This record gives sequence, structure tokens and C-alpha cells, in this order.
Amino acid sequence: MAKGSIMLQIAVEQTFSAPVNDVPEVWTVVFAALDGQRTVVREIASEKSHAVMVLAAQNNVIVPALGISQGVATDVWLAFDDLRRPPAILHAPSHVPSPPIDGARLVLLRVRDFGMTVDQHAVISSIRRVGSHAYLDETVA
Amino acid sequence: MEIAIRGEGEVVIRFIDRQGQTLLQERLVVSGPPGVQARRYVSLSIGTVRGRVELAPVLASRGTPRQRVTFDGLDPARFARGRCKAIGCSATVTRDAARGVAPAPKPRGTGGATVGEPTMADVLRTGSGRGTAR
Repeated sequence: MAKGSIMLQIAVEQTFSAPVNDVPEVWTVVFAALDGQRTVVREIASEKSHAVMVLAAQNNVIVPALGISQGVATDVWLAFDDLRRPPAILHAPSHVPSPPIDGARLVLLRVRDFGMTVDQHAVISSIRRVGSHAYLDETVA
Repeated sequence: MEIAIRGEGEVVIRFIDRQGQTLLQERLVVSGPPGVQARRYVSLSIGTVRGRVELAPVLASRGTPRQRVTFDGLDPARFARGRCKAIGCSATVTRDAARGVAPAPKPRGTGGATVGEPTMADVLRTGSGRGTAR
């Protein structure tokens, strides 16, 4: 058997009630089983919307500069029964089909974005939404 | 703490302090084929202007009753009860947390990024013609 067309999606939205000193990182995975046949990953994409402000928590404090990426790190892992065989790792963004990969038993979509930390003299106010998806086809090899 | 999700849908987790106030809300949305699973790893403390604050996770909602969620392998109610006791919540806060009751995050303090969204359940009811007339 083969699973046919599969979609995997994962999204994380972080909302804070008050400014904080550290914004937790995003590290999350979604995964599903495959039948060990031939897999082609058709698309991997991600989206991020993020509002962030760094504020001085005390007077006469120079607020540090902070650079925030517009994107998140997204990759797809295809893992095999034989643990000596390294997983195939495909990175986003990708909007063309991957080469066919035979024998994968597990597909994982991983999404990562940085955490941020400032010291007690400053605070971060933030809302962050990140999401990624992957489309793949498993057909009989 | 490891959040494990089995099955499609939207999961809302509110992280409360010992007073029962929500400091952080995470909304996790999972889609995929039958049997899809997700994992997320979170810290149960956060730095604030008052110093480091210990948090307890509260499973406020999940997509469907069939969607399964665990915190460090435990039922969320059981985990929340234990964590609330560990960080010094009152009996009322602990009981509410175990029942999935925690306030929505409300902007506090000076300066802030805000969002105010209608809940999608209301929008879906209205869109499907099952909303109440206003």
C-alpha cells in the first residue's frame, strides 16, 4: 500500500498578557506514518506574522537593538526503518517536487523560530504566529 | 514540558501564574492524515518585570473530543493539578486549572502588541446560518 496524497500542517500562535524578559522559542513537529513506498514532497512552505516591541523597563535605559527574521526555519524529514540510513531532510521554501525517495516510513514537518531574551532593564512585548505546511505523495514503488 | 497531540484540530493552552492569571497563551493547530501527531516543548517559567515566574499549563480547549493531548505523558488535568500545587496556587485556582478554566490573556502594563479576534466557533455558526440574530 501507499498513503497517496498527504498534507501536514502545524501552526503556533503565542499571545502574552504583559511584556516579558524572554519570549520562548518555537520548536514543534508534526508527523505521520508512511508505508515505505516512493515519496515525493511537492511543496514545503511557511508563514510568520510577528509584532514585537522592546521597551525600557526603567528610566535612562538605552533599549537594545533587536533584529527579527521575517521567516521561520521549516524542514521535512523522511525517516527510514533502518536507523543506520540517515533521514532525508528537505528545507523550505520549496515549490517544486523533490526527487523520489523510496522506503520512508515516517514524515516529520519541523518548525523553528528563535526565542528572545533581554535583561531586567528592558522588556519585550510580542505576538507571534508561525505556521508551515508540506504536501507530499506516496505511491507504490 | 512536552505537549503531545494526537489527531487534527486546534488546541489552546493557557499558562497561568500562581494567582491564576494567564501570562501566555499558545494556540496550536495540527492538520494531517488519520493518526497525525505533533509535539511541542515549552518552558514552565518566564521572565517578567517582577522576576522569573513559574507557570502551570491549562488545556483551555481542543479541536474535538477525539483529539488527545498529554503534558509530559500525563492527562492535562492531572498534570495541571500537580503543577499548580508545586507552584503554590490556591485550591480554587488548582481546581479551575484541572477543569481547563483559565482567563484569556488580557493586555497589561505599558506598551504592548495586541490582538482582538472573534472566536472562530462564533464565525462558523454565523456562516452556517446557525448564529443567533442580533
